[in-house]
Amino acid sequence: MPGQIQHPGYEEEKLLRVSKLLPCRDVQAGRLLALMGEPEQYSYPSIFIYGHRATGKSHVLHTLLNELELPYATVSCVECLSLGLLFQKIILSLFGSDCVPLLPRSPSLSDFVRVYKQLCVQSTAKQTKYIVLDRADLLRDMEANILPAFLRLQELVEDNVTVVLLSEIVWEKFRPNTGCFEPLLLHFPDYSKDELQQIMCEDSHPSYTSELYSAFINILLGVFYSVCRDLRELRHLAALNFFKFIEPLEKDEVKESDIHRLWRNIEPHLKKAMQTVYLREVSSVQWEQQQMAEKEAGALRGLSAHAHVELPYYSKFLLIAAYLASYNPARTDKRFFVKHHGKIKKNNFLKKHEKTSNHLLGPKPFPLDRLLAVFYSVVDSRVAPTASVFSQISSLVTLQLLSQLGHDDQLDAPKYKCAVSLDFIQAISRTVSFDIVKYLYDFL
Amino acid sequence: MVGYFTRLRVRRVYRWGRRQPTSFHRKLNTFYFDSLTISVDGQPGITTVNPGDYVLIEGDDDDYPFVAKILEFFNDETHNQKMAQVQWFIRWCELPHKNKKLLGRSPHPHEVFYYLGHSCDNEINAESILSTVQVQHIPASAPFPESPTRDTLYVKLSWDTKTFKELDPALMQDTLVPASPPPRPKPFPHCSPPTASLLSRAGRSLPTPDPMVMRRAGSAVPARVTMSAGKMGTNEAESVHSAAKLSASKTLSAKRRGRTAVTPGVRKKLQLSLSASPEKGMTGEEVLCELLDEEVESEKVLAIKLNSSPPRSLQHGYSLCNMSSGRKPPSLLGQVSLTPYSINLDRLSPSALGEQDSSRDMMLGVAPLLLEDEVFEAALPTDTGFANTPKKRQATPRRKYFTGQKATTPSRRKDSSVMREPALGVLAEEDAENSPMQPVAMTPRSKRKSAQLVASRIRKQLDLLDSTQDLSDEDDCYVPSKKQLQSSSEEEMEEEEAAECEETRVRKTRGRIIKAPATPARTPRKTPSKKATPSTPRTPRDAIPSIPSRTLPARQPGNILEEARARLHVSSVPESLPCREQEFQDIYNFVESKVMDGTGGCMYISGVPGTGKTATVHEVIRCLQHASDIDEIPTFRFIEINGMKMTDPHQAYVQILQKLTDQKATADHAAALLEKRFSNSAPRKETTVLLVDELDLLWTRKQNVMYNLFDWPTRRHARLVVLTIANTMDLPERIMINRVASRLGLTRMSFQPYSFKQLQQIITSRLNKVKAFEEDALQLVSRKVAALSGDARRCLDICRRATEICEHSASLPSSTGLVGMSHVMEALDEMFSSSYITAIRCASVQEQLFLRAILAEFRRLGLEEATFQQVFVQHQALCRVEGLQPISTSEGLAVCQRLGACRLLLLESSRLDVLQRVRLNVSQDDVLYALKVDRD
Amino acid sequence: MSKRKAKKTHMTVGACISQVQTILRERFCHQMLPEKPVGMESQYKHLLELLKRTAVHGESNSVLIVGPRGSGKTMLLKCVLRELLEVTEVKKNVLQVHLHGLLQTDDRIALKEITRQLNLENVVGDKVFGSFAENLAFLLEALKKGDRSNSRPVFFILDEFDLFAHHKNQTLLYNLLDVSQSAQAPIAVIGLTCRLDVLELLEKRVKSRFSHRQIQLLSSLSFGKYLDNVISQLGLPQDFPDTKFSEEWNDSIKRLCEDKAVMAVLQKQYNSSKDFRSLHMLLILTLSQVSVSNPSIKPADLLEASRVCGADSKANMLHGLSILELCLIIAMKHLNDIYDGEPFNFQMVYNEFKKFLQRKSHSIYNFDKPVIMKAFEHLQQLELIRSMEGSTANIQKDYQLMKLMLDHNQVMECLQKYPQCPTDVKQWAMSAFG
Repeated sequence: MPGQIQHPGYEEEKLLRVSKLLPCRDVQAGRLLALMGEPEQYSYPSIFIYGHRATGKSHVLHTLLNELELPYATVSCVECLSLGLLFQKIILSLFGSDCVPLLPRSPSLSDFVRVYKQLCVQSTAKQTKYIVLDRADLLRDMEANILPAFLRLQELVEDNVTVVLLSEIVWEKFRPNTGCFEPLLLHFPDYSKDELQQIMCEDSHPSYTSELYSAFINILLGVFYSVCRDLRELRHLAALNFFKFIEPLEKDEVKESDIHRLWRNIEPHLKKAMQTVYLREVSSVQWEQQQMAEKEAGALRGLSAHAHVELPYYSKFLLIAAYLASYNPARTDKRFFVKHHGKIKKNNFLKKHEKTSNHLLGPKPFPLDRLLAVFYSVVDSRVAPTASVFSQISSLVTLQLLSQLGHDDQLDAPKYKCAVSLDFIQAISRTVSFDIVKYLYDFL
Repeated sequence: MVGYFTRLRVRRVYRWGRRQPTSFHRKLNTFYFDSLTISVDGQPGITTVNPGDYVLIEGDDDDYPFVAKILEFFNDETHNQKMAQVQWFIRWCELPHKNKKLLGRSPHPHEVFYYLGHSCDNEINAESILSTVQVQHIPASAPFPESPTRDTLYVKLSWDTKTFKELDPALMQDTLVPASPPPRPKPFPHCSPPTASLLSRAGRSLPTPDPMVMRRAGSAVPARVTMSAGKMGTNEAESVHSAAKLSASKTLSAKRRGRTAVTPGVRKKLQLSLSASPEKGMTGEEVLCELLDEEVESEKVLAIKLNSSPPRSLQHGYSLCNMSSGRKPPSLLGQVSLTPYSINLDRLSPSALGEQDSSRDMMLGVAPLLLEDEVFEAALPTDTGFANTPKKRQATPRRKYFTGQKATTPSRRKDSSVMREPALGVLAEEDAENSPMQPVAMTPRSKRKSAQLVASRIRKQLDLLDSTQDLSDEDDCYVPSKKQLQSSSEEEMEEEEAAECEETRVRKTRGRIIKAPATPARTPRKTPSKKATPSTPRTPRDAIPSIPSRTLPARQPGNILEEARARLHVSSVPESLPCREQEFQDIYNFVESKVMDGTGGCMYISGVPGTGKTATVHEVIRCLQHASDIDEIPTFRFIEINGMKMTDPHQAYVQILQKLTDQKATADHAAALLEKRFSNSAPRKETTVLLVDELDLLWTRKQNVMYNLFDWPTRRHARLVVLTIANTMDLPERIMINRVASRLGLTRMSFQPYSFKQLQQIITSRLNKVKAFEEDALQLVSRKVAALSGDARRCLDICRRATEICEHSASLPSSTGLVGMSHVMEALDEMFSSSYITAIRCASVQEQLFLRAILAEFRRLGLEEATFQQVFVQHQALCRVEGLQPISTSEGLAVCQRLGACRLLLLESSRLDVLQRVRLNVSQDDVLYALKVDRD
Repeated sequence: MSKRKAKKTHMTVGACISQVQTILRERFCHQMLPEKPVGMESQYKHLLELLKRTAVHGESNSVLIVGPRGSGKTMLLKCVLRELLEVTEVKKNVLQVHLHGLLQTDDRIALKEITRQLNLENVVGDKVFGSFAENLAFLLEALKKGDRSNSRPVFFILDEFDLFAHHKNQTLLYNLLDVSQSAQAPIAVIGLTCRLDVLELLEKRVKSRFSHRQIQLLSSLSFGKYLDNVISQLGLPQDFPDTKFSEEWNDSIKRLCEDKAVMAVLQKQYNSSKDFRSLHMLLILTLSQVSVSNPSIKPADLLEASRVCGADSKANMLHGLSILELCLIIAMKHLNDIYDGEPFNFQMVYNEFKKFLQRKSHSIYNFDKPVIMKAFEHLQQLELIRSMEGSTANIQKDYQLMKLMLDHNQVMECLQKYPQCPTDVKQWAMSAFG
């Protein structure tokens, strides 16, 4: 089935090699090649290829251009913080390093085109040149004229050049306001599950049978496929977890055939991996070390669950107070915090049903004095309103646990918001044995 | 018919008709005579002139001698001067250039106007009478008779320096001698005897008039005909003459006072000598007033002495020898002293006289003057001509110094200008006492009038040359540039020079000619090379801005339509701007007065584009330039900057500085230099007229550029006139801070948009006589444009387009050659109809659907705005209604953004794709209309 | 070696095909000008005569060519120039200056470019000396020195004219147009733009100097014409080496265009836009399918091509989402339905999703919040959802207000196409309020 890419313009061997390098992308490669046509033939001025991350956009393109030895320049717009850089890269890889100095300092587009033209006149190569711009969506943030100009570069430089834009964002979001030369749109669909399996199986571990490995991949996909279809990510995870997977085999606890036990062995690790490595909350190095040290597998937890931010005692209360202040309506404070309110009929406080709870809408800002009031009522021992309290507030702000609204200039009545999640505040309040949920209006 | 021989070429002998005076005026002790006989030697017969006859009086131009009617003859108290009281008639060509518009029609070549002005006195030296002439009065309505002979002139109207009036025949009847001739100055003692003797000596060496001169005079006549054919040529020529005449009369009256200035040449010398003083570092004004004072005193003295002066017996033959002194030079020129002549020519080369005067002027002015310079103590006869007044004596050393100066100073313009100012003083004074009743406003004019002797002579020469030019090459009838004139004037002179001295002089003159245009002050425009060469230190030295010239010549307009198109092109400069006379006059007077009395000022001109602001100002400047060329006004330099033509407001300084003095500087430095230049006084500084176009572009936050521009004129020594142009009437109020606005002052003028009549007039005047348009077609255009913008450019463009359309349809059998209604209509809606509706009609089905969807959605929301998402729902629905298969969102967006690209829709950034808000850029009705028409 | 054999077997065909490819590609990439621009004869005439007058009579002019994208403005101009330059009288005289709004983004650059192209004296090699101000002065001087009859006429061709109108003070335009309206070197200013409202962009003094000539390229050509044009676009020229092949080819094209399905496709194309550029895109896609194995255009190819062109890119993207992300999208869709189109934040979405899980989810087990957040962020990267606040300064990211940039039915369609989509998710999506 490889080798179905055919084109009169190129030798069969090359094409074969190409199609070997491009598993599961024959269709796209074939279409692309067909569009490119024979080396001397004109190709459409600009081609826009979009598709999800790691669906082989740039890979296919590069393999084609490389293997078929076509003149091309490939630039990732992420790397080009200045236009000059972009132009230099293009000139460099199309015409060689000695041509770069032709560009003036901080070249404008018109300089680039001029230089390009005069270089074209010198070089007699008739082959179609290709300029591949990766992460093209960043072009939109450059000067307004860049994107349209690249789209019609063929016309501007009067040379047989084709610009290929790669992006994972759809074309509609690129169109400038006064329109432009419409590029030819190509979509790279994502890999299906089987294709993923097939591709991932190709980097199987030499010392183990490919069946075993594919089984492993199968398990891995079973866990991750529903969350992530990014080939790169999956391969990374596979690489990280394979050794954990084959541990039992190392220890000869299980047969290679006994996939089920292996699965029971690896599955929790994979789950954990999803909460940690996948989220980049743990570096892969940490992860591996932790894999080696078997026992306290439970010890390592992602940042998400971290309640162990060490805060001063009062700071914790301040934070709690802030949380209460920003998630409870002010009118309910009396009910929550007034100490000796005689007997209050419960039903008074049955909250009238509101459409959305504050925990959906997010924290409300509150004035400083309200914070203090709540603070004094929640903290059990008497605290004098000393400077230390205020300094702690400001330090909480610097820790970005609180966020101060408005500008710093309104010193008199600053407003704050609490910027921590419910889990976090619960963890905090647990450390000071304060049952916050009782005080939260949403949870009555 | 040959030109009139002035006594320069033939000698005329003047005698009183009867020896005895008819009457004697005791108080003035003057004798009155009843006739004058003029005998021209070389010609048989004697002309007798009686009071009431019309005579030609020698002016500076032999081809257009002045016309006057003799009222009486008398001799002055010294009895050695034949005088005549005259009523002037003014020729068309003598009218001031700028007043010519006032005569509605084109003048008859032999038409003269009864002169009612006061600015030239009506006593002349009888010896300046050339011959008699017929003057017929014709009622204004009547046509001029055909086949005019040269000797009869026709008078229809009278001219009082302001307007033309119907002339009532009564004036033309022989009028009585006015009761009292105006007082005449008392003679100085000690004049005649030496003069007489010397002159008699001079008398002996009289030459016979040299034949070449005769021939040339002959040739001049056909020349004039062609000349009058050439447009510009005549214009220049004429106003020159006008000045010339008036000044000549001044000359004559001045003679009596100067007592010696028998010939204009001598007279001129007087001026020169006087004017020499500024060379001694005094500014023009100072000299001026000084002179004025001394004049005043002298007048007083005279007035007192008047009646006490005893009668004298007149001396015959004086006039003869007197004139001989006038005729002396040719001989010298002719054979005697070539060497001194040629020498001092190049010594004097930059001087006002040496250069362009014809041989005649040489004889009169230059030669004597020079001779006095060069061979002073070698007492040549002519020398005596000047040697009588103390003034003169004291003058001579000065002038020697002066000429020495001149030899060194490169540009003749500068000194000549300086040189004239004092003269102004004298004459202004005379004038004041000649006609005390005249309005003050006139004085500047008359000053100027009388200041022109020199240049008028020059000019007259130019005209001849001009005409000869025309003879030589018929095809181009534009006025030859200064260079050509000079060079060819040289040729003229060479003709008259003896052969051997030619080439030397040629070289000299050529050398000078090269230098001539090198004075940037004159006209920066004419000499761009000067401005460009110092363009930048880094530019290659030889960087001269120029578009390469074409290899094949441009084709001239072939048929009448092309001709019309060429004329209608905005760029084709009309010889006069119709419909802007008033504005023209105002600006002219403003600038002129400022230039005259060397003060400064600002003027703010506003008006919507295409109402001829800049054009008018340029016209004014052109007239003024030309006026200063003929020395009606002191020279000034004109500088133009345009806010749009500079990259940044502060460049204004750089440009101004560069145009003033060819130096380059950074903006700040330039500002400093200009500041200095305008704030402290420099001798011989001429007025600068600065035109600032597109003023609003010079706006800076601190407004210092504007501030300076308006502040400099207020400086005492600046002599800067600033004309600013902008589109908006209330610019000062809107963008200027007070200190700037206040300096701008209140001299404002706003150009109203042209009315349709004016537009029509403009087109017709442009087309003049090229019959390419039907009347109503023009009407339509001008009405339409007037209704829309009143922009003349638009009007012309439309007409041009119409001619093209006409040309296309010319193939049709129906078409007359003319541009008709239909063509104009087509042109009009090509230019004015909005393309939106056509665009909608030509849009693709989906695009039209989308527009309809938008309308529907707007109606639903009751808003003028909707998100694409909302509209697209409607669109899908419409698709189903129309039975088209619904398009995908991407395609929908594509359609939407296509419409947005050609601005039928207004869209937000495409980043928020389905959320972007959509608005119509056309009125909903237009869309409906377009779509509905599209439907059926 | 197999290749060489292949070549032998259908030598001619292979050669012919590659010939065809070469020719047609050049045509579709707008490299080859048509012999005569179709459907714009009058405009052609107008422009031609206008420029001829400038070139021959030295009459200055200014004109705007206005037409939507891809309506052939540049093509028209190129054709006119081509014909014009065949006249030697013109060829010898005319200078051309080509400026492009996209390249010359401000007057400084534009001036340098003009000076360079006119090759004035202050150009050495391709370096232009002098500051901006000096260049301007220099150019104006040069133009001013010229006059109608003696200096070579210059064509100033301003592509994307509207962009020049955005330069500071419109200095360049003012000066060019001013020259074109005054007795200086004869120039023709030709502006190309797709904006119908371009005149409103001009400052009034600039506008007044522009001779309001507009050549509008608004093609109202019928579908019949369109079809003919398609045929002519695909057809091979007379001078094609292998006549036999070219005849066959042209016949096949004719047959192709009679095909019903093809008709339908073209009709659709025509409906969506009449310009030829979009057509060319379609055709080059079709053409690319032509190969030795498939030596003529089949209707199928055209259909495929139009499918590729007309595909909804968003749907394509949705297809690639993970099931989790898809669920989030569905949750958002529900939120949109509930609070019609009000923005939502992550908490709400999360809440919706949770509710769904609690109610009935056999297929999808619970993910903890960060994982979901990551999915949410991925959607944001794909710009399928967009944050409403400009600055995300001191707002927790799970409370940022978002909007979904998808259509209701886009979501539904994608669900249909989605590979092995769990039924309960489908039902959830179908169900009215979450």
